[in-house]
Amino acid sequence: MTWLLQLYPRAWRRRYGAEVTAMLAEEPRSLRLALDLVAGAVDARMHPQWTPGAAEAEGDHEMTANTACTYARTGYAPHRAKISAAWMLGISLVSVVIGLTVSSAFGDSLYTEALFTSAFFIALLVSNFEGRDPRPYTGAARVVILTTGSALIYGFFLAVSLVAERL
Amino acid sequence: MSRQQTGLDDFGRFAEPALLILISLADGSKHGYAITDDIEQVTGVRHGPGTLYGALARLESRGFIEPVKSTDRRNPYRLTDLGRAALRTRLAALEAVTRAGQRRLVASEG
Repeated sequence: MTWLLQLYPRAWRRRYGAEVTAMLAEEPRSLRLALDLVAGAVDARMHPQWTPGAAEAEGDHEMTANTACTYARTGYAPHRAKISAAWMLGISLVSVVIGLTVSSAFGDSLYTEALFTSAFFIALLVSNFEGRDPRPYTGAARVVILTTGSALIYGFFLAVSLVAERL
Repeated sequence: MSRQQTGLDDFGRFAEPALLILISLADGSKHGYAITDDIEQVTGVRHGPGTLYGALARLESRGFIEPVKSTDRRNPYRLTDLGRAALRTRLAALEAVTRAGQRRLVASEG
């Protein structure tokens, strides 16, 4: 469940990530807990709070320069940030719901474990595509690329889980 | 956002969890998990980490609480003087509302 913390802004994770990770270790996994974390991530992105610890950890000026370089290099468009974030959170949420549903119906398995692990990276892939302007591919090409990419990511983590189990 | 604001009025859905955190910290410093347990004992409601840390971040950013130096990953927090004053103000307001409600209820029944 700690992978959901990847949905939070980096400054937030540096400030509170270790504390929340320790807290999650003592909380039983549930859909309610997952939804609470996703809602918290949306809030942390929509209403970032200034705290002395977060500002020190982030290095505000350096981050601004780095962020500008990242925008210039990748074509990431700030005005599409909300759409990108919505894809990120939406896919993560759907993955959690599917994973928990499958887990409760058939029990924990390598397939659901791989789904939980790959969800963030699939969400990152789609969010990255949708956050660009102009978008690199449109229509059917985008659907094929994203579907294939998602399947490859899931396949990779499934393969890693299978290999890890045999070792 | 000014750090000198003295109320929880702009906390939105985090106003109630924030008040409960202030109440929990009124008798001494606690880390997140202990705060959650304490709130559950007092109210019967267990807040998830997303809600708890949404409220904690707001309280810390306004200077109502501050972290206590600790080597533990579970960092404890304590009330600041500003937080104690905000809690007093809030509890006094709630007390006035409670008194008014009870007075009207008694009047309507009598």
